[in-house]
Amino acid sequence: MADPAHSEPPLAATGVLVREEPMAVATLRYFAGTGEFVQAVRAATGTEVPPALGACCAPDGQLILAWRSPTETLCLMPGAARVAELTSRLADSVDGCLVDLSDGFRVLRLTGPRIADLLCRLGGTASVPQPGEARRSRLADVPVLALALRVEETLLVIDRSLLPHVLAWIHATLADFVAP
Amino acid sequence: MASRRLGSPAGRWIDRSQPLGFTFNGRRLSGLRGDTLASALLANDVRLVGRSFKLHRPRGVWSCGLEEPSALVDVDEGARRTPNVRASRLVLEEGLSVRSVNCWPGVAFDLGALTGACAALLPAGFYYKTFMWPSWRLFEPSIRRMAGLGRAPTEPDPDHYEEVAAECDVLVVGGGISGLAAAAAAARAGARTMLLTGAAHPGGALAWRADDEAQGLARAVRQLGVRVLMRTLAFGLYNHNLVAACESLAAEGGELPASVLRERLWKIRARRVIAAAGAFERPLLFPDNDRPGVMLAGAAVKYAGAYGVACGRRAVIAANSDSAYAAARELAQSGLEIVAVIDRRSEAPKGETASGLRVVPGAVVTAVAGTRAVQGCRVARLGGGPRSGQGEWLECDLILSAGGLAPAVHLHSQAGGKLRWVSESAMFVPDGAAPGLVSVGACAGVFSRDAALAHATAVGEALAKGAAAPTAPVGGAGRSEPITCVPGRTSAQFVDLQNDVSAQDVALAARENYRSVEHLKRYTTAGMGTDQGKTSNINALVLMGELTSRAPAEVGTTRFRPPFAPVTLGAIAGRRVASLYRPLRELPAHAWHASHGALFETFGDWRRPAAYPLPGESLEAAAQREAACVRHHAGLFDGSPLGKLELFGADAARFLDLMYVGTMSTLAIGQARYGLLLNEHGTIVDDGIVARLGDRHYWVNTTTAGAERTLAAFEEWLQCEFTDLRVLVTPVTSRWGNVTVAGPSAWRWLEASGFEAALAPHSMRHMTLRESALEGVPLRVLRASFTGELGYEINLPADHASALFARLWERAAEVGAVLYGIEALQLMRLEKGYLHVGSDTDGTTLPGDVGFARGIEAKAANFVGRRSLSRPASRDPQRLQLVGLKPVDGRTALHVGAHIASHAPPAAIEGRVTSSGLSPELACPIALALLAGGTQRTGERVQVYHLGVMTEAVVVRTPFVDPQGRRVHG
Amino acid sequence: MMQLECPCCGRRDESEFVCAGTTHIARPPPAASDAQWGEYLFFRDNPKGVHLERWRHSYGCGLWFNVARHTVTHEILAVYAMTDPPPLPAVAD
Repeated sequence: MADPAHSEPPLAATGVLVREEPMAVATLRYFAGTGEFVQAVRAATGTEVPPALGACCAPDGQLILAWRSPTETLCLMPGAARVAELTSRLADSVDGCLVDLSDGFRVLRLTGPRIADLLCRLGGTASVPQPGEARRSRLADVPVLALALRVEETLLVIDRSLLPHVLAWIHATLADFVAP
Repeated sequence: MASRRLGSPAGRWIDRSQPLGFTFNGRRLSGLRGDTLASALLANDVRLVGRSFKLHRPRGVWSCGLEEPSALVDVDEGARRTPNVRASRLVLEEGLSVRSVNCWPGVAFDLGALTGACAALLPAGFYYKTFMWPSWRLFEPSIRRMAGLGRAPTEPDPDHYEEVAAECDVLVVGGGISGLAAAAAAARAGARTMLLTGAAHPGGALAWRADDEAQGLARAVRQLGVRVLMRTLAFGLYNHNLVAACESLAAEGGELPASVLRERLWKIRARRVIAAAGAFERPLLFPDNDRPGVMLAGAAVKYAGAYGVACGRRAVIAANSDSAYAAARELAQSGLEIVAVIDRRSEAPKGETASGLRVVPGAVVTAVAGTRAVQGCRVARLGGGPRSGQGEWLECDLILSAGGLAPAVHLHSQAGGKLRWVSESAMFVPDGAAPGLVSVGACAGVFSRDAALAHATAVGEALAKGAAAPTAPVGGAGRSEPITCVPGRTSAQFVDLQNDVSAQDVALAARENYRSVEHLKRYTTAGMGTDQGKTSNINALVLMGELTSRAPAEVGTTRFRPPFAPVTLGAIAGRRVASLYRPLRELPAHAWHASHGALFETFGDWRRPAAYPLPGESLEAAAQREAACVRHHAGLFDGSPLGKLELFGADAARFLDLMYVGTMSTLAIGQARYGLLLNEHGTIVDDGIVARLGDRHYWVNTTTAGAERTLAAFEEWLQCEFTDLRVLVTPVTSRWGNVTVAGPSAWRWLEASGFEAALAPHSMRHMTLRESALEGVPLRVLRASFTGELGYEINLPADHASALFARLWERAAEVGAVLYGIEALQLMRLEKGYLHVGSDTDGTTLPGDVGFARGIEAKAANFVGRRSLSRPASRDPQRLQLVGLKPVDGRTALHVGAHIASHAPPAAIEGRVTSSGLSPELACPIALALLAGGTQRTGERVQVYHLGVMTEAVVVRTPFVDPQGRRVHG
Repeated sequence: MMQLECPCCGRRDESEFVCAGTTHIARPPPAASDAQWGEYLFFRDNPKGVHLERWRHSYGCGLWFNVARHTVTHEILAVYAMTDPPPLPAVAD
């Protein structure tokens, strides 16, 4: 079948740029943060699963790990090949599992000094992550994972079926953005 | 001319070089930049501004702030019309157009004013007592037309609104000197501080005076990094210190672009709140105290000082407080003639009588002359048994009311704070701090300037440091007596001008033994207008105390609830309008469906194709055509919204046995089984298909609407009850698109489209799941059917859904296939008698009621809800049970929701129709119904009642089509 | 709107959570009498005072946890794990 191409055009306003980032997504599920599965993850990725509310990047710079719950870490990566590789390296574990969620999430990359101004207009101050943080919260009335690896850059991970709703809210908000 | 513009330099806020044109009831008038509508109307000698709510009495400008009860106008026309805007808050703009409220044909000649002549016949509770027989509904429309204020617009609002969340350590509400001092102190002590003020200028009551200290504090607050929001009125304090405030961003009326960002709703979570909201002036009650030209003394002072407007030429001041004398002096300096101060107290403050001002102590206004404007008043000494007609006549065009001060304790009360009564000044003040909130300045009862500044500074610093706040040095308000109305008068003495509640109404309530101030409020409607009784609450409860021989402290106040001032619905909705009204989900192949003629409708959270009508074809006809085609050929359906969960773990099988009616632990890998999900009451909450992917790995399909519910239930049982089970539940609904192919030609179609032979019906049985692939794309193919036909649910990564639809559609003509939507699916599942949870079940439906009793008895393991199924009530043979219905005449539709009863109402209801449609296969209406003892009533004729029509129907067994269930096997 | 302290995610607005009512209700065994089962299903205290209740951070980490809340003041007196015993009794004022 034809390789799908999907991308929304970027949205821009004074101080913030929003663009969709094509990314493969997988989730790591495990019973405890210390078990055999988590050790296998460290062997496969070269990094620990992040602690509560943490986000980090694997040493190769290609894999982002973000805490989602006490039994879950979300992985974002550039393509399906990496998911396949991780899947095969973690397949034998009985203490946890990897579930490929690619296509299930859309990732928006927000850059600029006014990210917080935008996010607090989508619903909450609890949604603004500091670098190294991943925060699941309610944005635009839907659940969103917001994570930051560096200043002035935030990734929003949104259920694909809700992306049009979130984008419409962002679009309407940015249209009213004026220089502070 | 009575009220007028004063000469320069009076009027600190107006710009005399910038005249602005506006219209009032169609009349062109001119004001100045910096005016409010109220000041501009007064400058034009417009005294009569509107008509009152119930009695249509003429009313004028009463105040100079947000407490205004009387001068309400409708701003603008058409979609932007804003009703009941307070003239005292409306900033004048070029081209502003306003109309008086509640009058017809006009404010000067208002037919509704006839009710005013009958005021004595319209006391409190009048409606409740009078219009009960035969029915309130008979009278309601005309009463609603007569009573009321402005007119709401009927078109959609062209403007938009936004909502912003913020948090801070210390939030100061109020921009007067106390608020500024508290904010500066908090910021200096290192707290993240915000300050809100509804005003356009900082400084509060001093904002329009040349006050260096206020200006200096305002500058300091900005330099210290306090986030200051002007024109932002905090209207409510909610649980855990959430303060809601509305920021005005655009002008009301005048020339505006097509759509503007009009208001911003702030939701601010503050660790500590400092209330610095100031105080209101308390008016005096006397006969006809609502006439245009009677107003608050402090308002007249502000109109003169800030706007350069004299509210009259000759003023009488009715006093019950020391502040009257300061007002008299200031107004005299502005050029008004002060006829006399009529002081209700027996002694005027020392020295005031010597200043040349005429002071009449121990006296009251006993009558007011003039209907549409004050022409004079009669005053009489108290204690001399004043009767109508006695006393001295004073000619005047302005009567100012200076009854004392009422601290704005609203936020304190909303935060759960208590109040105490200060007798000497006749006012309620906060009794200490409220949880999370401390009051400073006038709203704390601190009226002397130096004490207020010192206290506010200490509070700001203490709260920033997490320390306890110092006690407020209450005082400085002067003497005021806790008395209100003038005794022995028959003319109305208004307590609440906006709701036309007079002292006589309060007296009636007391006579009828209303004791609680909350009951008084509701019976008389005092304090229930848009002004929420800012100038009437204290008088009402003081009066109630007088009438029931109780001290005001004993009477207490009504509860102060948000909003403090009216808030537009637009601000509350924010972005949640039109397409953002609520989050809706979009199918992965939405665009593909749109380009193939889909008619989208909203089903639950999803926008889905209801059908694919041909040009000119109705939705119903399209559904009939699509369903018939699926039955005879094949069809293509988007089932992507079906809920999908993956369960992983050593105890996954055991857990699913606990969750579902239907044993899942015995499934072989690749096998699937239907399951009913119950809650602990045994009630059906969802259904679905569970398939085994591996030894410790399951795939669960829930209903679309039940996806979230099922996940939440699973997590609750795992985390709260069955905590020893090792199961991980991962929702994967959006990861997988679902392309469903159904119909006798389904396999031929798939085969032609390149699917592997292992999926053929003879090698892959109904209710099995197989992992497959098509050109490298992984597939999870489930043989299941909600149509009753051979069916394949092809789950694939959602980004590929459109491509698969396109690929199959290319070969659709070869098998005569169609696209079908929800409507056709519903018809086909109805023909099969398949359950639709939520339609054919309600909050009482048990598995046995819908034909699953045997499945339960066969199951060995315990499961959630099972114990409830053995209660006596669950075994009652007369329970509502799901049956099929057909109209006896074979033609008349049976409507969903129609009752089954032996005759027209009143009648005992035996059941109701839950699903209904015209069967494409049988070409007659069919229905499902929940019927008492229904399974024992096959063949019985019943009456179905709908909107006055009885239809005879016969109870039948389901399925209606293919009773042996052969067709699903292909 | 209240704020609750999610044990994982910290202080969040109430709108991110769902409440499932009273917690610490023991589930009777299948052999329970109709009366015992009815008690379990339908009978709850409605205290004016401290109420022990069960919440889920549904817009966040999905964790279920227990909260001791004063039903008049909405003061949150304790937040504790689902499997922990109550750190204070449910008491009416």
